[in-house]
Amino acid sequence: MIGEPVLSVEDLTVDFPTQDGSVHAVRGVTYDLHPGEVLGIVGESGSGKSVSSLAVMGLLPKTAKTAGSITFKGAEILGRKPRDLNTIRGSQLAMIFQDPMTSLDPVYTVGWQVAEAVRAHNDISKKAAMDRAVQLLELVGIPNARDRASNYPHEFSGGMRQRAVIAIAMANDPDVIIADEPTTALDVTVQAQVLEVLKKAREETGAAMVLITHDLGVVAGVADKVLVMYAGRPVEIGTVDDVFYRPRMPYTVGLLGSLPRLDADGVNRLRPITGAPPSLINLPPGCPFAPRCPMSRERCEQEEPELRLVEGSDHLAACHFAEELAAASNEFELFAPVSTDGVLTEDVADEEAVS
Amino acid sequence: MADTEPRTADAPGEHPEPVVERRVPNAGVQPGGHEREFTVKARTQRQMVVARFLQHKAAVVSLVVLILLIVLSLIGGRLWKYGYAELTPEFSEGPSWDHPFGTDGIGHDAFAQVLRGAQKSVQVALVVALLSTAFGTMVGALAGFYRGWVDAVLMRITDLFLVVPSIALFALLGRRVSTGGGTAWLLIALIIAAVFWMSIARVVRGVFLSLREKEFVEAARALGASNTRIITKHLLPNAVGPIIVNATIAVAVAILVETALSYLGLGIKPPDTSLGLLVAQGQQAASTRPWLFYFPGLFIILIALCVNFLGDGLRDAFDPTQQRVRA
Repeated sequence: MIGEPVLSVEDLTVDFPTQDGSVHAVRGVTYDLHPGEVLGIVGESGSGKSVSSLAVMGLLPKTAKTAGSITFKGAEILGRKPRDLNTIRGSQLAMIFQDPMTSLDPVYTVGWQVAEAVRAHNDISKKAAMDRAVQLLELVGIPNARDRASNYPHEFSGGMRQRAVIAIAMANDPDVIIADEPTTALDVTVQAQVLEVLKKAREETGAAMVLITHDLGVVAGVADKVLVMYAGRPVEIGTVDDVFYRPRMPYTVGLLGSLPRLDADGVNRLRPITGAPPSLINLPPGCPFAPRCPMSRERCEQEEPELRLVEGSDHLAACHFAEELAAASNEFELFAPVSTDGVLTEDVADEEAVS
Repeated sequence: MADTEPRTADAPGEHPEPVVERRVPNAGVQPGGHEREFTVKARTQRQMVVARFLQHKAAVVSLVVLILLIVLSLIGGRLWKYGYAELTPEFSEGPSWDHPFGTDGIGHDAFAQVLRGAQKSVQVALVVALLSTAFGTMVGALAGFYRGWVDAVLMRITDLFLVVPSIALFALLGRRVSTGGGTAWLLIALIIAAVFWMSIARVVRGVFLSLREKEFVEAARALGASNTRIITKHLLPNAVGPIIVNATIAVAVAILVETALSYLGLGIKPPDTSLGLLVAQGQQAASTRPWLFYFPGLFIILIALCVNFLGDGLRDAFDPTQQRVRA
């Protein structure tokens, strides 16, 4: 995309000191987000997706040590005082949280909370704010918004609460919305509706969006670009089509292969990634994915691959042998399919590790 | 018999059509297509709190009784024919029209004294509840929200106050009360508040420690809310349940502590009086002149009970999840 990026993250690292040593939660995340663009960040639990986004919002606990640079509209925001950030947060930079059950204050009505978000950054009367709140609630598809505005969060269903949370995020026409697993806590039918509302929110506000999820389907449907994270590092970044059809990092291949496909003919067994991600406290040298990678060689154990432009594709991947993967006739057969012996326990565990 | 005949003849004409008419299924949706499922009116936050409070019958009754008691003790005392310090020629008389609560051994009208005592006791209790709740909540909120060294310093100070033996403090400071004149009750209230705020501080701190980790706090922060706003607008309203419960306990405890102090001779001194003092004075006479003992005792129970129900109602009113039924 052309033009200045609205949000630019460069070589962001986040460490959490613990008694056992420093946890390197994020190790060098770099991405640009242009106006109107949707970036999907995928990865398994603990891969640093959420932490990197909390760093953008300035919501990390005080103990976290950050380095690198986050520029929002050309101004550095990493390490700024909360007081300074408060003028940006909510008005230009909004966040949608994972769990709609707890991200609304239980003692205020939903309408009040949306109105509060409006009033926080606009100097308007309570009544005007409430009218705007009702408007926003209508926009996100809450039926009878004017009546429902006087309901408390516990009187809303999960999907409706998430709609209200989205309405709050939209309240001030932000330039960037960060959605941290917005559909994870919802069931599948509601997920689809909420994604639809998110799309509407983007159309309405023209905001760029960072969509954190572990659901590759959501990314495929919504995002323009995708960033795959593993062990705190971005391992592949590119346009969604490019990454999904021509993955150049075995981990991405594994993620895609562990999903059931509707377009495949005949019986296709899932191809899970065996093993578990490494501890982020004492990372061994080399590629963090090497122990689980069917392609790993000696070089992988010693040298951590840089994120680089892969020849013959338009995106970046962090693998020494990305070209080899490109040369393979069908990269999706890299991982072994689930055995037919009926031993499910290990495979089930891996499935869970992915989600 | 003659009556029933025309009636049965009339029956078919009496309810001809409306029963069938009402069963038409499109009653919910108007032909225009406008949904009419929810016809409840939108109300403001305050209206809903008031509505929920009014649903709590015991609390409403308690509020009325308490207000009547306070009005009676404030105004009734002035209007009553006898002053609380006035000596009447009737000694040790039982309740009569002239002296509804009887008189004591030196001719004080017990009704006037109980009214005066209730006034003082309620004054002391309310001041104690207000001061100790406000101060305790502030200390607990700051400690629980900021944690770290703020928490450490504030909680150690709280611990320090907790280990001070309160009776010794009362004995020491209570002596000055007798020379305090008209503001003596205020001094007593201050002393009681000084030994009672710690429990509220600790409760509020605990509540804040758990509340500050809730996601809605993080969401508020993501919206650009300052610490002050998060504490006052989001954490305090969520902690209002435990705070109110503690405040009502404080009222009850203050009345009882004041009673105990007066009993020990450290509280309010005659000729002024309080419910506690009256009970203490009437105690020796409980078997021979029971009216001197039971009437002030009844007032103490009544006030403490009312305040407790009131607190219960307030807590429910401020907690929207308490009642499933839309108030």
